Amino acid sequence: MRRKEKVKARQRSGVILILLLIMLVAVLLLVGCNRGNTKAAGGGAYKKYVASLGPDESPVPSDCFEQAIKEGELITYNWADWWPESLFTAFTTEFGIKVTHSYFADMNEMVTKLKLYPKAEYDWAHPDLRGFLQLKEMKGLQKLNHKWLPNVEKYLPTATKNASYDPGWQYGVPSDRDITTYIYNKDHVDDPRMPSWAVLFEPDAKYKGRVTLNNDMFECIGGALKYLGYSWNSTKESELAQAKMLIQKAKPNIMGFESNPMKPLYEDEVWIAQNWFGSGCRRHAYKESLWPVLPKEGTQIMCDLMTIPIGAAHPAVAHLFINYIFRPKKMVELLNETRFLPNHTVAATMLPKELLDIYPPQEYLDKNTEYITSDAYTGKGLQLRSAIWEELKR
Amino acid sequence: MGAVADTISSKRSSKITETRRQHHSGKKIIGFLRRRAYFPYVGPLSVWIILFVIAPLGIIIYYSFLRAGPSGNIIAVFTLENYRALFNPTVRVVFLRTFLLAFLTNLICLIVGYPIAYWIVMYGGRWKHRLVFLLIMPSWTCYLIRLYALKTLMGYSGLLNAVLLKLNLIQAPLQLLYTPGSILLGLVYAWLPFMVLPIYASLEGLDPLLLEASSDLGANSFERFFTVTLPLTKGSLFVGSLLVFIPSLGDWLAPLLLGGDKVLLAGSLVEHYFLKQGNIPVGSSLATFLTAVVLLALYVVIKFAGQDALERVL
Amino acid sequence: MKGRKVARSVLLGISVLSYIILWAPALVLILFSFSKNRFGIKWEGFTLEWYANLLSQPAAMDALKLSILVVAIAIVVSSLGGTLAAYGLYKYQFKGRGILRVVSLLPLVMPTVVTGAAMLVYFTQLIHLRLGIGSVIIAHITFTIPLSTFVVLGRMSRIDWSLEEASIDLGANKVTTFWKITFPLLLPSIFASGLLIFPWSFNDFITTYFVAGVGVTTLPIYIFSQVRHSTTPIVNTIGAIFIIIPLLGTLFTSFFRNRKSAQSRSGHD
Repeated sequence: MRRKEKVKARQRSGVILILLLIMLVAVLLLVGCNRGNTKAAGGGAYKKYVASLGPDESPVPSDCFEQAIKEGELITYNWADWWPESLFTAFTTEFGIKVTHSYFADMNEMVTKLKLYPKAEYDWAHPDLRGFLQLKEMKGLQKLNHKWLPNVEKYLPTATKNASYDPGWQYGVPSDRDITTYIYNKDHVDDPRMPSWAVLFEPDAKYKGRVTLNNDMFECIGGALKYLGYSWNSTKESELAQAKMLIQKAKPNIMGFESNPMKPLYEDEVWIAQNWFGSGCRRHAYKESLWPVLPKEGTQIMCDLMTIPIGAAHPAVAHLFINYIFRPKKMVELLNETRFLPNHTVAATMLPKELLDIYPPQEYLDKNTEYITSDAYTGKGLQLRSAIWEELKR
Repeated sequence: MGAVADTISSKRSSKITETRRQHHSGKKIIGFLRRRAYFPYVGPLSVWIILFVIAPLGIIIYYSFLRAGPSGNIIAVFTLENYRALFNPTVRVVFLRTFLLAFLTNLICLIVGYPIAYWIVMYGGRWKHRLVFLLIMPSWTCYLIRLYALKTLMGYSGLLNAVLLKLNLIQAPLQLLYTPGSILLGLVYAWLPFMVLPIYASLEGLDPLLLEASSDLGANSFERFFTVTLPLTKGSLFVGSLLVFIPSLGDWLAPLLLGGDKVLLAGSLVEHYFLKQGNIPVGSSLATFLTAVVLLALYVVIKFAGQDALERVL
Repeated sequence: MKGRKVARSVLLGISVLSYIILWAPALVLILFSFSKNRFGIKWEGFTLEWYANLLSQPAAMDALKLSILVVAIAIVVSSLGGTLAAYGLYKYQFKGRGILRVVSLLPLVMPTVVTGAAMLVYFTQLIHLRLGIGSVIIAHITFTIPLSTFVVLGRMSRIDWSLEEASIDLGANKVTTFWKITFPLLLPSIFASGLLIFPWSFNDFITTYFVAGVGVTTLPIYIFSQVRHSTTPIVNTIGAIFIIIPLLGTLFTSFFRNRKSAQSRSGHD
């Protein structure tokens, strides 16, 4: 009897032990390691910070600095493996503020997650212009404190400061610019109509099955609208109907809808792909025969914006970081890696010549490109485009 | 017969448990538990389901009856208009197409999967376990990665085309990707091991004496298969189909990567409404509809296959 | 007899072909992960630099570690809960039995985007659970428990329950019986369900994305996210690791098992 009880007790305790162990591990992870950052913030630290800056770099005011040091952490929300990690590690080294990365894989998902959970604790989110417009409409972004962003005040181009999507740059600071275009493979494609959108939307028969359109309704429909001579932001049903027909006709000739056709481009599977200019420059750097174009019918100009969602727990750090990125040296480091077009008056002049040569000239950008507007990307414009997209994919 | 023995033995064991616990307080609780001896077993699962399945689903159903705001957010006004979206012709086409594709995938997996399971069990010998492991191992890699690898193989300049060209079997590279067939191939490729696994488990558990007996009674291999093996393992076909059909319905990755996203399937349609159009209420109504349809199908099949189809599976 | 031979070769043919088709992409993946070609699309000479690169990418490694952790916990908890539930569903007749069986399939049936969004709203607005790793684990357990339940349930009718009865007759209480008799009998099914749960949980993306807290990145999230801008072939490298390691593991354990069975065989004789 006693032996059986002993065995029973031992087994029971064994089970309990294992369960406790699992629970312990789970709890530890749930709670997470204490990420407290107790850097002694005193006037001395701020003075050191100001002294360490170069002549073209402006410091944030001391109240921002003090609060940022107290907050101690930056939680980012960006695409993975894009911005060079060196920027973030240098930030940590300089300020002792830990950086935690979060990633999204699709702009729609990102907006939906913030729509369902507006208080998500991301300090610094990096949506593209479309996501920005949707977030702004949802009132999901904090107003920026311009006094805390002296570098931005200095170096953001005036045109951008008053851009239609966010006059007075109240909710976001663009970190770059880019235009939608298409990339082609010089080794395989030779079309006299270049650089027209026609090459993409009405491809020559010999390129059948080697073309991809962007798998995003705004990009694809927008490009079609531009080709037809209309505005990218059109909400006129007749114009959109024509765009739909154009894409409908193109469908049998394309390989598919693909927003990230990098591998097929490298593999020579795809020869003409709708994509972005900056991306095209990057692909060109890795494969000489790939080239982006400047569509003669025009296109949209967009940007990625640094924003602070309303749920941010460390807004001062976010401001500090944005100001940090806008130091000319840092911006150049960023743009060298991402190869997007600059949105920074000084950095634009500090980029290497090969890049500047390929980049679209300012007249092109002024004349042939337009920013997207809320009309097209929310409300009626969204509904119309969404319905078209559904029909196209039926 | 088994049920009676079960109840007797459970009554007996619970009586033993009770006498041992008499010094514990709460006779009422004991009485309650004794009448519900199943509590500690299905209790955790039930509680978990109520907490984390029913409640969230309830939210979705709740949302499906609310009005959508301009950016697709939720306005707390009761409306039935979201369900009107179900009568949209696109929805009909997409759902039909998805069901057809899932059904075909299921069929192919059955036709290919059973022979594989049979071969492993009957002729695998010592290597049985390893063969099964080898079968499911590719599934351990991220689905996305496998599809990318499949794309590399099947592209115009991919390995397959290269080999066929070299062997002079074709003159120009075949278009193997971005067709509905490629989606089907991708789905079968992804879910085949999930069909084989239950069938394998079921075949392995077959009493060899039964097979021997049927041979002794004069059946040849074919007859034995169709009259003994197959009926005894038909439950596993059901489970395997469950594990193949349902994910195929919701799969949006294969149509995206292998099909060039040229056609919408049910999974991508829900995603389209939820994410791209950002219309949460309509997305919710579609999701509710899809879930209801599949549940109904499941219920019908269970009733049809018999209550114990699920239990005699493996 | 001839018919039998034909049937046998047909079976062999289908099986071999299937294995080749299943493994070809995996082998290509592994091969190209060692290729000097930056994008892993063709062979350009042998190199280990992408593996070194992966190890030096803390973000990818963290994502990998987290994915493994989540899967491990999901397997343990789901196997336990599922086995218990299967036992209860099989052994007892109770009022909600049929409903429970159908309802427990719900997480597998609902589209992943919906489960994800629903759980997000539920966690943040209804039960005020802070998003983080815990919410991801809860979500994964939720959709893997049905797998375990049904795989184990399926085996129930094959178990020799008389062994259990015998154990009780001999005086063991329920816990001991379950632990020493029932559990080992069900072990093959539990193992099979573990094999199923691993890919299901490991590959999950959308549900995980929605319920993940800040800074919580599982491998699929990382891979999907970097596909937009990245230029390194970590995708191949990670994929390869997940095939090479289990492969080596199987070879290792089968080598071990052979030695052990050889020893035990000689022991028995």
